[in-house]
Amino acid sequence: MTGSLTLTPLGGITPLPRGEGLTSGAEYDLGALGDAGTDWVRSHSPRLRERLATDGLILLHGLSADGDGVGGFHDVVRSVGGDLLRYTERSTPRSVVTGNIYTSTEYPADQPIPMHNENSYALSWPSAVYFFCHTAPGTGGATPVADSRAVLDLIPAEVRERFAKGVIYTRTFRADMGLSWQEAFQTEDRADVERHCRTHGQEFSWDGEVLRTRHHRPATAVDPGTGAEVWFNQAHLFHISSLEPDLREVLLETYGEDGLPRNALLGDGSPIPDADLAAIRAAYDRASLALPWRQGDIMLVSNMRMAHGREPYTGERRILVAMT
Amino acid sequence: MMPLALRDTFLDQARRTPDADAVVHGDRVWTYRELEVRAGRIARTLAARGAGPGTLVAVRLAPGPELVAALLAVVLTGAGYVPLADDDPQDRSRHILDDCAATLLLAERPSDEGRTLTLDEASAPARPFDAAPVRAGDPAYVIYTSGSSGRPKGVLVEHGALGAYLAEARARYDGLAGRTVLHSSVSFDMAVTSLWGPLVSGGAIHVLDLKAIASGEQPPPAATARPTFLKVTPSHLPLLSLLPDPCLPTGQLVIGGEALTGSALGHWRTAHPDVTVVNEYGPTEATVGCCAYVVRPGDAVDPGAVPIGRAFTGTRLYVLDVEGKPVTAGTVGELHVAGVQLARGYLGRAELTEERFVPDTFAADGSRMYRTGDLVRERQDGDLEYLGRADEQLKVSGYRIEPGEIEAVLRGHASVRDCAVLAVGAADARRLVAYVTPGPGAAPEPAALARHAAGALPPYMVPVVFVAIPELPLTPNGKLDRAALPEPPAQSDESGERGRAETLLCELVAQALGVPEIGADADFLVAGGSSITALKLVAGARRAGIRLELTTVLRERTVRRILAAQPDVAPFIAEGEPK
Repeated sequence: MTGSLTLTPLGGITPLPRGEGLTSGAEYDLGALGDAGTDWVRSHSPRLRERLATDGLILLHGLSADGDGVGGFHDVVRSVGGDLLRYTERSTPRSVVTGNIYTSTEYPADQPIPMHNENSYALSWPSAVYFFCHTAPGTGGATPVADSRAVLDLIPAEVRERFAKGVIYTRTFRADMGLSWQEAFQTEDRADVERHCRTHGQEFSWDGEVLRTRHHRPATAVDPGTGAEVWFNQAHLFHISSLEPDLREVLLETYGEDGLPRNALLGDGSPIPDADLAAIRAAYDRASLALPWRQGDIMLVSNMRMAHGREPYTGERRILVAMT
Repeated sequence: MMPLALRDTFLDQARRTPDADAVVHGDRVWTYRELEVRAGRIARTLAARGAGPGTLVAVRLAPGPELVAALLAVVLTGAGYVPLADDDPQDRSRHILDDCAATLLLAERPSDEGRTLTLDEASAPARPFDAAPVRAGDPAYVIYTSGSSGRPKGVLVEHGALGAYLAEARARYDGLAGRTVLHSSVSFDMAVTSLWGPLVSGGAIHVLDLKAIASGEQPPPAATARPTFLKVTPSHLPLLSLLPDPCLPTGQLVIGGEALTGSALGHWRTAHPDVTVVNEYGPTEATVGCCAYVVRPGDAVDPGAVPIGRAFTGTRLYVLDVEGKPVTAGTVGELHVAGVQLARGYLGRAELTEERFVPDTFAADGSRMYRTGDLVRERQDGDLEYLGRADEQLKVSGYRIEPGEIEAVLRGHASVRDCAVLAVGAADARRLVAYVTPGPGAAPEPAALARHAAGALPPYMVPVVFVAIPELPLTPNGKLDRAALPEPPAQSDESGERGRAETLLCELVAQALGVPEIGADADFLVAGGSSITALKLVAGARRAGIRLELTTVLRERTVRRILAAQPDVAPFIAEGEPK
């Protein structure tokens, strides 16, 4: 796999730095093109799509944009990925910016968001995720990426073995803790939720306003762009160990194992050993490559090939997201 | 001279340009003749069912030519229309239908309610019908806006006022004679311009879903059908930059409904330097728009507030101080609107109408003026500038609050007979205080009232202090005598164990939120926190030896209320002694 590629003599194309050589991608500086940047993206969209599938990651710098740049971002997404997707079956709060462009997850700035592939806990997921840096953060706030093939390789064999039967995701939706079912499913109607659960293979049960769901998914998948097997689940995000120990203790004491806002179990329903989750997080750590934002940057990520996350940050930060 | 009523202006236009396009939606095109015939067929049925001058007909249909025909049909009968958004929650629809007591409801689907008609049922054979004459004082429409009782209130606009606005719009916006985009719900009065403006100007309405076009779900219209007129709110401006040119106007872009800044306009003006931009101001109570500021091609615009300009013909604008006296130019005052565009008032709410529509002390003819609740200032050049809201709405922690909505909820509690909600304290430390008088034999309990309020209101509207008093003091003319209310208890009792617990918990909340400090009455959700903040507070408190229940923290959400709900906190403090 290579980090440098040249589609056209643009100048300013540099290979990405490679995190332990495990994750790479393509980087273009379109600054020299001035107003013609968007046209370039449009005319090169088949090649960009191809590289996105094989390399998994493309960074575009210096795309000249009108106004706040959201229009230009929208153009790039449509040129490369076609129609934008809605963000349904939510696990975190987000706001719609316009059309199907969203703010990236509205999660407290001082908390990192662990590496993950978008919606890998669901029955369907976007093939690509696009980020646009509207306002660069003061400090921190990078969107690290990690090659999901490398992550799989770095996870010890016995851990992969335990995950062979997949992952069971459990969720409890409460009005005041985490997401309410209304926000998560974007409806006020219980029948909509039940329909969604039935068609998406999720068990569900109601307890007054409290909704519990449970569903089973594989732990790995085959990336169609490369044909390689990739680590493709969110056990480490759903599992209670993703919270600091004292927060975890309060949650467990208040709601019990069965009432946690989110949790993950092994495919046979047994708990996941804490050490396995530590090994998975370590694998992500080693594979991930932190890419700091500059205003106007656009990042295209193949969702199956690359996991992404967010570092804690200070200051204003506005990263917009679209998916196709 | 009074301008012609909408019905007569439309019929006149249809006679002059029968073959011109009137409504376009996708590949469907209706000419003026066709629209008149279709609306006329519906009108005959409506009239036979009792619709006519002085009555109301509700309309709840999806956007499209049928909706235009249905609304026009109501107008042709001489009745007033009550537009309901087709995606309104059922509760809201039901409240509006009950409140306006409309004679008929035109809807997509039949319902068991006797007054509901579908368009199919409503289309009579085409034959001319003689409608009763329309007078200036007959209702033209009733449009619902949010109200202090927590229920929307209907603003009744008469044909005279609507005719006056449309005459003004026609004279000011020549783009209405071309193609006008109708994209927003007709249940807001902003759409009046784009709905009736074209039909009294010989122009065509293009029904477009701009969001669907921007997101690519729907194709844009043909480049040859580019609109000449578009009206939007400032929040629509970012959307415009995503739209292809065939959706965007070549003549006028009218912006209304919210405060507009020059910087928000920047992108539009760079991309479309030849289009005139108009900042139109007007509450629903003064019929869509009663003053405007025009930015012509080439005009410089400051990045700050764009002025709202000067009064329309027939409208008088006064900038008054709290005593109702005119302020000098440059001084901030409350904008009052008088003249031909005033609404009749709030449907079925004489008292509220009297409160907001007051005698015009500057006119000798006994006419009224509307207190907008908006703060404005007259600039040196004579243009008005909008600065914000002024009326009795309270502002606490940045939220605009109608105390009446909170009072209505509290009165619903069994232990409360009457109550008054006030904001007390300096701007940066305002607290909502509720004064309650007990019901017979009852003793209102603050925690129970807070929980009751929290069950019906957003957190920022739940009072933090409850004061029980035997009677609400009144002024001689029956209004609440604020000065005679007792002082609420002091903000914070810094002495003793409880004081120390409060200080510590405030520090923990501030830490969790990443802010330097936060008051004991601040709701952590309102202050930008989430359930994670609550978790951190509970975990942090435990480290300091204070045992809090997560469920209590999530329910109470301010340090003061959390402590009040956990009476056993103090002993823990004494043992733990954090500092």
